[in-house]
Amino acid sequence: MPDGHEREKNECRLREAIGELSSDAQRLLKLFYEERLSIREIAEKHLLISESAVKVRLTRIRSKFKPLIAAPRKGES
Amino acid sequence: MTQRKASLSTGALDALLADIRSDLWSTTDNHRSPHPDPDKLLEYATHSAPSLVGKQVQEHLTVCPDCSSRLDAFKAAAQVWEGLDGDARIERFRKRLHPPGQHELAFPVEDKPSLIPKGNSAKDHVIQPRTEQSIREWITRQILRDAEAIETDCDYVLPNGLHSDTHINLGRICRSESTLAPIVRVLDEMLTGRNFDTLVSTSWALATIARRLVIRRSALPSRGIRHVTVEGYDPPSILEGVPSGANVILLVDVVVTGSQIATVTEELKRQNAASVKAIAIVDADYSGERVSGPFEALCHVPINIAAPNQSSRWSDRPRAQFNPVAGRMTVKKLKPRSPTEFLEQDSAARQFLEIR
Repeated sequence: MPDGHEREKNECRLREAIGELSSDAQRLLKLFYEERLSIREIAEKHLLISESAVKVRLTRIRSKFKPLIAAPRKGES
Repeated sequence: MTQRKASLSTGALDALLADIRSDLWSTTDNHRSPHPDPDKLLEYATHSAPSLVGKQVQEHLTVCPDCSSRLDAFKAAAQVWEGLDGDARIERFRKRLHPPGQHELAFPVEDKPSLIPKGNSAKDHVIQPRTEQSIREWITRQILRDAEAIETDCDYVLPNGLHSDTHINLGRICRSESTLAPIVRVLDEMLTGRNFDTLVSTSWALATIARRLVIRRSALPSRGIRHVTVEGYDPPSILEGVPSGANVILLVDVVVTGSQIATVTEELKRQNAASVKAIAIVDADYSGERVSGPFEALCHVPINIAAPNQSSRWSDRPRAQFNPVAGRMTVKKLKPRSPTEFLEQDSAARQFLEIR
């Protein structure tokens, strides 16, 4: 696990990066990570797009954040 | 530049961070892999890889039996599927190969190591036959499924008296040339290089398949394969003579106990056949006693079998028995019907009778 300082830095960077996202992308993150809705619920009830499209959007958003986060070493969770 | 305030809680951020780390994990893990990724392997197999990539893949293949095996599996699959909506199927394979981290062609059936023919080298023994058997098994099961030949509606009484919950109705494969061609092709591939001059079929459906196999093989240098049909079970009746010294391939549909293979082989040997090798379309994976010698099977379909005196889980289904006239399992009526009753209940038969 990253130590407390590293974790705080990661969270800070992430909050800033999320703030730069479009409102649609922020909404998607909120639905999935904050409200813990399933992919299906988000697809069918909120965004009215396919489940695959939801997955793709989430993956793209996360991939934007990758450079901000230190690459994990083997054994880290 | 104005920033919108992100409103994710610490718990949500933690979850997001965990997912990003997981993504990073899989990415870095892939980069560490010494194996060419599936797309490169596919490009190499289809001769569409750039020369440098092709050279790298080729060098890797010389030292990596796993990737050689994957490549062999792809080539064999592509060859066997030629002409059978091959492009669409290969495209599906391409998509299955694409997910990151997936390093194996995931065939849904397990190999039966005991049925794998032995090769000369260690590589032949361990890799090449294994993939061919897997592909053959997978394709045959697909053919049976596509033709809806795996029936599970009845309590089936086999000719040997055992009850089964599944019937392999090969007649469904014989409905058209397009459904017959794939199974003929799979058998043809399997028989390539085998020394035989006589093909013995044990049902009308297998006779239909065997005739096409003989025609297909007539174009080869080793022409002159004789087709012989067998009817009935107890005792089996060989309709055409088998020449003395014949090397026979015996085709059977489903092997449960193997009694049909045993009795037909005995009769063929009595007619002075030099060798008899049995090939089944389906091995039922029967756990009871087998009476036949060794045989090969195109595929395995686990079938539940119950002894006549045992109450099976499927005994509440309508009962079907082997009908020697139809040459397949048919539902047996509880009460015998008079010809008039039969014609009243079967409009097709009545129409057939009334044609003047």
